[in-house]
Amino acid sequence: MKLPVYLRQSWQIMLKNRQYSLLYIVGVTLSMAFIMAFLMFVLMASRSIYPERDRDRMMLIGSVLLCDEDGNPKLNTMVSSRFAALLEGAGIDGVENTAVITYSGLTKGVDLEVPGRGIVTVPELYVDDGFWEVCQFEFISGRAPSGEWNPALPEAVLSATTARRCFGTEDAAGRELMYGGTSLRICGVVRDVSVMAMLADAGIWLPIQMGREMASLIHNEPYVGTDMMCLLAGSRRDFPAIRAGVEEVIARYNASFGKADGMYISPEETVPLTYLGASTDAHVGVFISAITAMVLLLMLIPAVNLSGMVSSSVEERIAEFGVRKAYGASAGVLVKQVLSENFLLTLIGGLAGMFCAGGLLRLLSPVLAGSKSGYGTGVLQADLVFPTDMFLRVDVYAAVFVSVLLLNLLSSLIPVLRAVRSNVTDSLNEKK
Amino acid sequence: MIKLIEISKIYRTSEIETMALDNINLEVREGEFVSIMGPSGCGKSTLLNIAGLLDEPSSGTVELHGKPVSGLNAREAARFRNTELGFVFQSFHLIPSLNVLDNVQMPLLYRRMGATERKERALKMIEAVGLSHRVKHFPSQLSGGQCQRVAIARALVGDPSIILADEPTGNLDSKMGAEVMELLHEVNKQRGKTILMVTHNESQAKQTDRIIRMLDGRIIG
Repeated sequence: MKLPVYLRQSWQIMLKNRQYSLLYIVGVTLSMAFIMAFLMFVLMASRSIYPERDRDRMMLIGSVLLCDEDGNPKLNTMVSSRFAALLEGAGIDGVENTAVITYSGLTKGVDLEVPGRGIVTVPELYVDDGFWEVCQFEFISGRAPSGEWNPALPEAVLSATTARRCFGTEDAAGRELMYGGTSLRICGVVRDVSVMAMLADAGIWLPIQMGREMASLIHNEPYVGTDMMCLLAGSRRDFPAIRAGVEEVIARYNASFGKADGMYISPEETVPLTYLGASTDAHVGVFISAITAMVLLLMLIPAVNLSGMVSSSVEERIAEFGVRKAYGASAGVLVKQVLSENFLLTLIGGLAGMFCAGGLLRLLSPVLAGSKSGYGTGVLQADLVFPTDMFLRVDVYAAVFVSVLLLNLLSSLIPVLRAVRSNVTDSLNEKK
Repeated sequence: MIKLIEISKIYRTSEIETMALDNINLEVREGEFVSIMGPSGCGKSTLLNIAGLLDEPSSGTVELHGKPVSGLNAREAARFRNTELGFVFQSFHLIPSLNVLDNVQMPLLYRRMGATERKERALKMIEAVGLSHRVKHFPSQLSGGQCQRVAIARALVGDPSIILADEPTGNLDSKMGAEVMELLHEVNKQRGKTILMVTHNESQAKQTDRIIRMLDGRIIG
C-alpha cells in the first residue's frame, strides 16, 4: 500500500505550506458548503425526512383542476372537504392510511394568547387524526391528540420552539392557551419540524374541525377547497392501483353533479400530485440529471480557482517528480500520487464544508422557506429547522465523498498532467 | 555491463543545433568504478543521463548487461531504471517533505513489495550509511554530507547493479566529500556495484579504476 506514504507526505506538505493549505481548505470548505447545501436541500426535498419518514410511499393530492363540461380548465384549487371525505371513505385498494390537512387561508400564522406572555404568532396546520399516523413525530412531552373532538377544549400539539416561546419550556403537555377566544389544551410537544417537510411543517397543529369552521366562512364548497390530502400506500407498487382508484372516485364525484353545476374535476388532472419519491421514474430521471448537471456546473467555479493553486503547488515539486521518474515512477503513478495527496486536503475541506452547509441552509432558510409557499400553505416560516438526521445518512456522506472526488479531480488533474509530462532530465533541472 | 555505441546527442532549437555528444563509444565493465572528467558543458552529464536511460540519444545504441536498452518505451525504461540503476545527484534531490526512511524507501514504492519489507530494506540501508539515528529526520534537518548519504542509501535500496553519480561531492566541503567518496568506494568494493561518476575533482577521480576525459562532446582520453 503506497497510500499511507502518500498521505504522510501530504500531511507534511500541508504542515510545511500552511498558508497554501489553509487557503486551499477554506476554498474547498466554502465551495463544498454551497454544493452540499444544494445537495442537502435536494435530499431533504426528495427523500424521507422527519417526520415524513415514508415519503417513498406517500401520494399527495395538493390541488385539483376544475373544468367546465367541455373539459376547458376553469380553476385550479385545493381539494374540497366533500371530495376529501369521498376519497377517504372509498376504501381504495393499496391505501394504508390517509391524512387530511386544511389551510385556513391565513398568511402569517395564528395568534396564540399565552397567559402572562401575551401574543405569540406561529404557523399553523389543521390536521385530522390520520395525519398523526401518516407522519411519525417524536414527542418530547405528551402524546398525539386523542381523536375525540371537544369543541369546548380542543387539543393541540406544539413544536418544541413554539412550546419554549409560549411557556419557556418544552415540557408543556397539559398546559392551556387561547386561540380566537377558544381555550386550547396542549396534549403534546414534538421535536421541531423542518420547513422542508412539505406536509407536516408547522409550529402548532390544530384539530381539522377548527380549520374547516374557518374555511367554510371564506370558501365556496363543494368545488373550491382548502384541503390537501396524503395517501399512504402499502408500497410503491400500489401507486398505479391507487391512481386508478382515485380516478374512479373522481368519476363518481363528477357524476354526482348535474350539468347545471357546470364544474367538473378534470380527469386529466386526477393523477395525484406526489412527492418526488412517488413521481414517475421519467420525472425522477429528468430531475436527477438536472441536479447532477447543476452540481457539476457549480463545481467548475471552485475547481478553476483551486486548479490555479494546485498548479503553483505542483510546479514547486517538479524536481521531486523528476527524481521519482528516475527511480521508476510512471506518469500515471505520479498522477495517482498527487491526486491521493490532494484528496486529503479536499476531504478535510469537504467534511468541514458539509457541516458548514447546515449553517448555510439556516442562513438561506427565508429563501428556502419562501419556496414552499407555492405548495399552498400560505404561511411563511422564518426558520428552516435543519434535520440533524441528515448527518446520519449514508447517502449524504456518499454525496460528500463523490463531490470531494470530483472536485479533487477537476481541480488537480490538468495541473498534475502538465507537471508530469516533461522528461526526466528537464524535471530534475526544474525546467517546466 | 555499460556499453555506449556511437552515441550522439544533438539539441535542436528552431535556430541552432548543439552537438552535446559526438559519436561516443564507451564500455564500462562489471564492478568497475569509472570517473568522467572534463570542463563544464563538455557533455559529461548528458552522457551519464543517456547511460542511465534518463535521456535518449539522437543516434547510437545503449547496451546494459549486453542488451540494447535505447529502444525501450517509457514504461519499460522506468521499470529498468527501477531495478537496475541507482542515481546520486550533485544536489541530492531528496524529497523535502519525506523523512529519511520514506526518502530511502521511495524507489521500492514502484515495485510490488509490501510495506514491511520496504521498511526493513530501507532501515538496513540507512544503517549501512551510518544514519540509523536520523531515520525520522527530514532533509532540512541534515547536513549536506548526511543528505548525500541518504541519497546513496536510496540509490542502493533497490539493489541495482549500476550506480550513476553526477558530481556527488560537488555541493560538499572537502571533509564531507571525502566521507562520501569513501562510502562510494565501499559500495563499489564490498557490494560489487558498477559506478560511473562525473566529477570535477581530479584527486577523487584518481582514486577510481579509470578516468574518461571529455571535451566538446567527445572522449579525448
